[in-house]
Amino acid sequence: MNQRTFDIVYLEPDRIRLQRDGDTLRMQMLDGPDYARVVLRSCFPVDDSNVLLSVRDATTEEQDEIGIIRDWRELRPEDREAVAAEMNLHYFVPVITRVVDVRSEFGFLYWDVETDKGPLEFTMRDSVAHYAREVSPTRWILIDINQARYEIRDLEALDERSQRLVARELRL
Amino acid sequence: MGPITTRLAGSLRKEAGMSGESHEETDERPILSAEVPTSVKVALDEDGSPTELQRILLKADLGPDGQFGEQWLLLDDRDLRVVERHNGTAHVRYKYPLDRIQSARIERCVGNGLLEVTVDEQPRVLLHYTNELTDRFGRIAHYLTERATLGKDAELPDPYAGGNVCQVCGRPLLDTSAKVCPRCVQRGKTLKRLMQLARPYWGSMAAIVGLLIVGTLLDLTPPYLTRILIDDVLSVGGRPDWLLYVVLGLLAVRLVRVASRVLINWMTVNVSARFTAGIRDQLFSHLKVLPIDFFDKNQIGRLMTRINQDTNELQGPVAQMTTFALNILLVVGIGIVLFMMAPSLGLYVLIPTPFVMAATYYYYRYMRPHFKRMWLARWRLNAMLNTYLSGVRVVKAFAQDEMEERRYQNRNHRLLDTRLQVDLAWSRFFPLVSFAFSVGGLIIWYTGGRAVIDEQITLGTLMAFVSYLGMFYAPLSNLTHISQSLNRFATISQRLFELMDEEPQAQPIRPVRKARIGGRIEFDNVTFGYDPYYPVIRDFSYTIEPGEMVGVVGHSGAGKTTLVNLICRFYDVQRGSIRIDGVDIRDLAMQEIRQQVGIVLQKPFLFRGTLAENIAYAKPDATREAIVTAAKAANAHDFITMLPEGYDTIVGEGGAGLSGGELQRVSIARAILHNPAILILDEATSSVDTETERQIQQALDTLVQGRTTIAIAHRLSTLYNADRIMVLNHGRLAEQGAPKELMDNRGLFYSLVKMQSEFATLEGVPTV
Repeated sequence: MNQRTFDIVYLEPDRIRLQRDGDTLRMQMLDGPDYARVVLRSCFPVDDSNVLLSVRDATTEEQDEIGIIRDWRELRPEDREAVAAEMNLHYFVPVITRVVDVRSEFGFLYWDVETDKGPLEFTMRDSVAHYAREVSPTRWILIDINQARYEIRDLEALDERSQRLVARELRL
Repeated sequence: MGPITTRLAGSLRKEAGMSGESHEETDERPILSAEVPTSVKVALDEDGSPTELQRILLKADLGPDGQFGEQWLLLDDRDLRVVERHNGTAHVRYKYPLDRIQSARIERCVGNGLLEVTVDEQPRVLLHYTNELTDRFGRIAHYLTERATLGKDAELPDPYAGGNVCQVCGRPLLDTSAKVCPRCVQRGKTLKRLMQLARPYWGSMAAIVGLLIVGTLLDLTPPYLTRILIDDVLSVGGRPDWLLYVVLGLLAVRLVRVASRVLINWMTVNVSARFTAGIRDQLFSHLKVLPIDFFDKNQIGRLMTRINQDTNELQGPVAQMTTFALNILLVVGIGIVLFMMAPSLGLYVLIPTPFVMAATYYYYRYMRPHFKRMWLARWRLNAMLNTYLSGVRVVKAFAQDEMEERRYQNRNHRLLDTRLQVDLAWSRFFPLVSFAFSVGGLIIWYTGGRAVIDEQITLGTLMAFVSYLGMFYAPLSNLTHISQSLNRFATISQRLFELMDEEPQAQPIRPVRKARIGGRIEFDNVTFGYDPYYPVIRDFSYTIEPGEMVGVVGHSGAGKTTLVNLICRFYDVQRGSIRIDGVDIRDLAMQEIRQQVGIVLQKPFLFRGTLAENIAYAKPDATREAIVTAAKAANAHDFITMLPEGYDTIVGEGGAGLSGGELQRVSIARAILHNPAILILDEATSSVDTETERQIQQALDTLVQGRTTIAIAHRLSTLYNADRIMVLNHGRLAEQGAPKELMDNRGLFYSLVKMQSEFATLEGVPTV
């Protein structure tokens, strides 16, 4: 039974070293233990994924928290690179850059889009109330049938046709 | 995403289906190596893994850089490899001997997942894949762990088996509670099956069709009589003496028509309502034989929709079908009459037909998004109001009325906007449609008028023509969206059939029946997880003797309730077995288990009905004396008799009006009357205050006499009279023994008790 404290432990940028070994992220604490594998969880992945990054020990059953990095942009460049690569893999949320077509059929929406991670097609339930999240009137997160997420970062930055299709399907 | 793998899954499924049994023996066959790109094959070959030794090859759709890409996981007879393919070339990224892999698991990330193995005590992330492939890599992880635990080769999994793909086309299935995707619903087949279900009503349906034909003929008569009226009665030199007869004829037609309409409507409603009620009965009777995990997989809301709403929606189309039939008859009938009366004018009638059909089509296309927008706005407004009303205390406590008001106003204005949009769209659109309809009439008035002036046709014929025309376009527009209705109809029916086809829980072929269970429970190396890849109970072995009271403690998530679920056979173990009196519970008749195992839950559930009915739920034929005796033993008798309506008090689903402790004592009375050999108390006292707990505890003390009891408890003080206690930690037995022994050992149980007494000291409550 590990005694959990109720205080947040902050990890100071100059006390930790993060490093990727293949796809595995390791962390060494200069005045503490080495962790063979850590995972990163952003406290505010939607609002601001740069701040308050929880670093957790992946080898423990419940991925116990080691500590929190206040703002990972303040890390040393090598550490920052490792964190960026890990975050990029952990939060796989393609950003939609163009909507080629959306088809509505039998209660599902079939999206054909271009994203920053390449072209893709995905399917979501045709229920805007449950599967499209309005972050702001121009920023949306769509959740598909596999619980994968896609982001429309700035609706107004999309081309006109894309905007029209999104507006039609999200009932804007 | 992953169109290639998806197609593979489909083709493999079909193959597996055809080869049947032989598929089980294909352990040596490399899975899907035929679809592997040459570059990957070459890279593997060069790395010392020739195709013939490969056993599983699985594609992941993400690259190491977090972009869409291609990585292959290979298992051959000795090693595990990960190969990345990029720009047509492939190279091996990781290679680990299988014998050095100690465990493997999949981990959920956001929008993707990863596969991790532990090699020489070191965790290694191998690759990421999108969520769609979770099942496949989960199976591989499961296999690798099994292999490491057993110390020898385990049964090779088929990563593609039973995945969520459509059983017809192999595309990923959208609605995971369905088996066939909407596109593949075979409309013909579904309608045929529906017709089979409607067999008892075939007679009535034939009668309806007959009446429809009669009705159509009657509909065609009045314009014809009008023509006679104009041409032969009212015209110069006509037969004024016929006037009364023709008008009487018209009256007769109208009367018969009204009568036939009433009859048709009555019969249609009757057939469709009875038909859907019958389907609902069938669905419910099927529902009760389904295993618990079916209810876990399907949200209550969605099932409710299927059983109540879908069947209701079915009623609409059933009734609509008669309207469609009527429309077809009308269009054909009127068409024939028009052409017979004046072939040249008949052709003109056809001119506006495309306009009418186009207008109808665009109506649905144009108006639908507007309606949907309004529904959504209304839903949001309702949801907001609902939240506000149910949380009104919180709103007031935190003084946020103003904010909530602004929120409500915003949503209300949004609804207003959408409502206006709908009306505006409608007001723009409707005149256009009516214009398209009226153009046909104008063409006829002009050409027909010319024909009358030229004396090619009579005025009566023209008037009849115009009347027929009015009857012609409405059904035509109706028919334009028949396919839409048919599709919807077929999809709903398919969904209902799927529910009917859902596999009932496996029943033993030759169930063992026992007159009376002694109550010995043995867990033999039990491993179980709700998701097979995340075991909640691992290699659990324990024996509980008849009449013994065993306490189960551990952190939340340690697997306590799961253990109970397994004894009740709400779920089946994945490995090992559970035996009651030496018989595997899978061989016991389900009825037997449920009769011999009684359960008192943390949150008592009372059905709508009287208290007496609730106490006698398991034994509806119990005498009043038995009910009162049980309530007395459960320490419930006193408060029940104090109620104005005593045992006849009606309680609702939540048992409104009774306190948590009172409800719990009623549910204990229910368990006492049920009189099971094995009793399970699942945190029966955890949601009540100390005084109530004492009352419930007294009730329980009576209940556990002479039964095998398993008591799960958060408050360890309630286990003071347990014979033994088992402490679970992450699904494993961490400690067990008599309470005193465990306290002396100063292990996990000791520290739990200590922690609780520290809290209790803070509260000022004495404990064990």
